[in-house]
Amino acid sequence: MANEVYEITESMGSISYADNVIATIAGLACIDVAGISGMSGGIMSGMTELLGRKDLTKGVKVDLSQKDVKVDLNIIVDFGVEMHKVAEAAQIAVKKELETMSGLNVLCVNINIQGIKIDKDIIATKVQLASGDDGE
Amino acid sequence: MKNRIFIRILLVLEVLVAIAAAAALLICAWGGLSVELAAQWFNGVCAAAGGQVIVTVICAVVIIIGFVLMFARFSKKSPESHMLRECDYGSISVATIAIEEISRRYFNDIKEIRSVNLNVYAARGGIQIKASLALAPNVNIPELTANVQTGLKQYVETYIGIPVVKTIIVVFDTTMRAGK
Repeated sequence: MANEVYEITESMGSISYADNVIATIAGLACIDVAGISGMSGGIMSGMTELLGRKDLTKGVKVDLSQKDVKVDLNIIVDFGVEMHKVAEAAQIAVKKELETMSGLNVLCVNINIQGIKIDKDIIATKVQLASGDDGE
Repeated sequence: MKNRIFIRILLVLEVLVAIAAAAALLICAWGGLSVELAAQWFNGVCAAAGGQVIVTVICAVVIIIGFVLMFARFSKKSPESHMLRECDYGSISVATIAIEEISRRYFNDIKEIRSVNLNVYAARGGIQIKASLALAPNVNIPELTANVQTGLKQYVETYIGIPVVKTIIVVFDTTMRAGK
């Protein structure tokens, strides 16, 4: 992600935001939404996390211009949730968080559901039920 | 994905060779190593047993990698996705792979279905799912496929929220006895 800085000129001076700041706010707001398992990033984000650093901008693409911002989020949802409702909740949460924290005008929050996280416990329970084994 | 990693490895090898060549030229240019001495060393390598073959192989590999990289596609192909909806806040789309995974979950719960191959296509007003099924023996196929058609549509529309305009079921085997 380009680490460009955008400035908003105010009467008292200027306020500037780096892309990464906006991406981090969006990423954190998104991950807090119930039903979202994580963000889907590229190979570089994966390598960063392998090295032990948490990449808070993973799966977030920010397009900043003056006071407007467009955000694209690549997310992974939990299995069993209603994806469209989760995605809508994420859109609202990210828009609200960005507008509150940065004062920028959020033009759109585009959500791309890239994958589903299937909890192994759910599968294990189903297998037990199917075989009639109650674990005793 | 594997292809991109392979190309990245080739690129790293080619760049390492280029760095080594540039460093050697730089050292020669600034007098750190005389050209005569380098030529003498190179002649010695070529004169040694199998030296010419080794040099030929290395040069051939570097040239081939160079040509492969010249025509390689570096652009990251984004996974295919389907638009769910466009609202005031922006758009929501779902990757094809996620739709396939959800559909596969639906089939996993039906014990008469032994295996399934899924394809998801974009269609006017939603998506179209093609499921090729291998069924257990002695299954009432018309009843099962009718249930699958309606059930899959409901399942996908509930969990993903994208309209399923068509569900194509192809039964390709009814003799499979093994588990999924």
